[in-house]
Amino acid sequence: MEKNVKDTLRDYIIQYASIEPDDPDFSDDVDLFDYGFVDSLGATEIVLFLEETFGIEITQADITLYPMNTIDEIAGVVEQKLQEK
Amino acid sequence: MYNVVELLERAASRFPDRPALEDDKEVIGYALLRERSRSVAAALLKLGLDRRCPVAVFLPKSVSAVVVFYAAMYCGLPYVPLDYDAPDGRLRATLQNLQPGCIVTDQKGAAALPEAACPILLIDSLAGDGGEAVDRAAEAVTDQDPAYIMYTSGSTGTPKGVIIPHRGVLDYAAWIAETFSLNERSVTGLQSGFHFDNSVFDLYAAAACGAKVVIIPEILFRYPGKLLAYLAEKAVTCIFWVPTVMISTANCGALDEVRLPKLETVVFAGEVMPNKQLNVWRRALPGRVFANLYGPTEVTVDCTCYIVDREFADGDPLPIGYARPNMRVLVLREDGGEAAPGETGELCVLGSQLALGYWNNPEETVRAFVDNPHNAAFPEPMYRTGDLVSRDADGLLWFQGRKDSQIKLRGNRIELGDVENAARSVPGVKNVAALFDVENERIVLFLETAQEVQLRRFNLELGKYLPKYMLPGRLVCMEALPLNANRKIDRVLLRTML
Repeated sequence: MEKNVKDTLRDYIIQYASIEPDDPDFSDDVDLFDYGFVDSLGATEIVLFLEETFGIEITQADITLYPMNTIDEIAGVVEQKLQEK
Repeated sequence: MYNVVELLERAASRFPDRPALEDDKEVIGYALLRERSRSVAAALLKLGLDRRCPVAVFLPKSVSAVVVFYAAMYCGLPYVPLDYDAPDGRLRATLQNLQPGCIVTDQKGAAALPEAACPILLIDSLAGDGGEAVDRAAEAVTDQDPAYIMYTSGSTGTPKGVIIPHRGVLDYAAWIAETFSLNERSVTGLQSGFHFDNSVFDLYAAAACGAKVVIIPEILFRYPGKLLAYLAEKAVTCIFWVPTVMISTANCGALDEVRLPKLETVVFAGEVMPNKQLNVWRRALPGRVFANLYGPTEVTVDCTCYIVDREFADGDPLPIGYARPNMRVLVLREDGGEAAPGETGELCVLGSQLALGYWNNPEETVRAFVDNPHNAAFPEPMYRTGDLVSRDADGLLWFQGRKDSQIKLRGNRIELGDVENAARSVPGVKNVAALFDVENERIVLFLETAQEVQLRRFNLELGKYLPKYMLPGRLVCMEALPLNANRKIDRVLLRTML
């Protein structure tokens, strides 16, 4: 079965940010930026990865409108974009 | 009346319906901005605060915050923009020094604020009759009165509140509007947080000529490509930002894709601008104005300007230009004499934009603001910046570094002593030394601790005292910090370990 959006995203972030699998701070609803898992360079990388992987465009308006700080939030935006396609 | 609210009064009468400000929720015209500011001013007057009593503003980067800035100035009270994202420890230290007359905030801010000895007022509840009483209050405000107080990092861990008078803002705004030919059709994109002095460029230069300010949502700075698309969408004509953003937007490659036909003027200040990325910008936008400004918070944002008029090779430095009219700069040697061309000395600034000093901090004020030693017959205050510069044969100024341990990181001014002081509060830390790794653009903390500490976890703890931009990018844990012959931390040795 194909991996869903959230799993794909989580796997990417774990790999990108070299997160230890047993890190107690890491979860789907932790603020990735406040908790220092991802820095500002990482934000762009994540969006680029999602745009290419799912063939969507996340616009400046999306970024201003929707919070995208946690895996749950980012996956939510991607799923909405996929539905609009 | 000669004060900053006059800029708003004039703009509201000349351009009542033209847009003054836009944030992610609303666009407001000059007449309405005046009306709302006066209404809040009337409510502030009812508090009966002493003149010059500071009004702390704890609000997100929004139209509402600007309304409170003007409201305070109408009443002759300096406004103090607090960092809405500041950690509790930082807010406490700032409020402890400030002792404000009141704090204006929103619901969320009220919940985050530490207990305060002054009234905490919700912005939505502040309204009054902005009539004659407001006029009377505003007429009493002179150009010598403080307009705002902005906090900057202090080497002992206590933030320093720089007091800027109305005349500094008026002179600066007039100079910016004229130099960059701003007018009522201009649109400036506001990058800076309101607690940084760069915000003064947009807010008051725009008001001086009826231009519109678009308050760029903070989140977009995480996404340089989207930020450029936003500038295009909002038809921004003039942008003033820190080189960090120039660099990230140049590096992301989006300048090749996003068209910015409206953008006429790109101004930067706050740290050294590398020519490599400036050249990417200049190639992408030929024929536009690019300018490098320089100045510490103590001189009302900027005091020198260099309009880029030639090509510089990628690795070459960029000059910081010449002093602007109404401001003078001296380059002084260690012995107090004026440096000869090519010789490095401390940049000292004189003129209308000088701060009145540091709030509740006479020691620092006396140390930094001295009498001009080269004009003993007419005492005039001179600010010693601590920046080292040299002047070339053409009179152009070139930045050469710092006299002390103050650094500039991604446009933010940081005293390394401030970082060390906060790090000592983290449990388990016995001793600490902070050094700046210029090459990798990060603060490195050398820690004396019993065990290894993970950077991310350490920063979560340190982040209770320091804003994010002051957190280290690398930790080195040691059993004992090395000492030199004077029993002081051997920073020379530590530097070799960066």
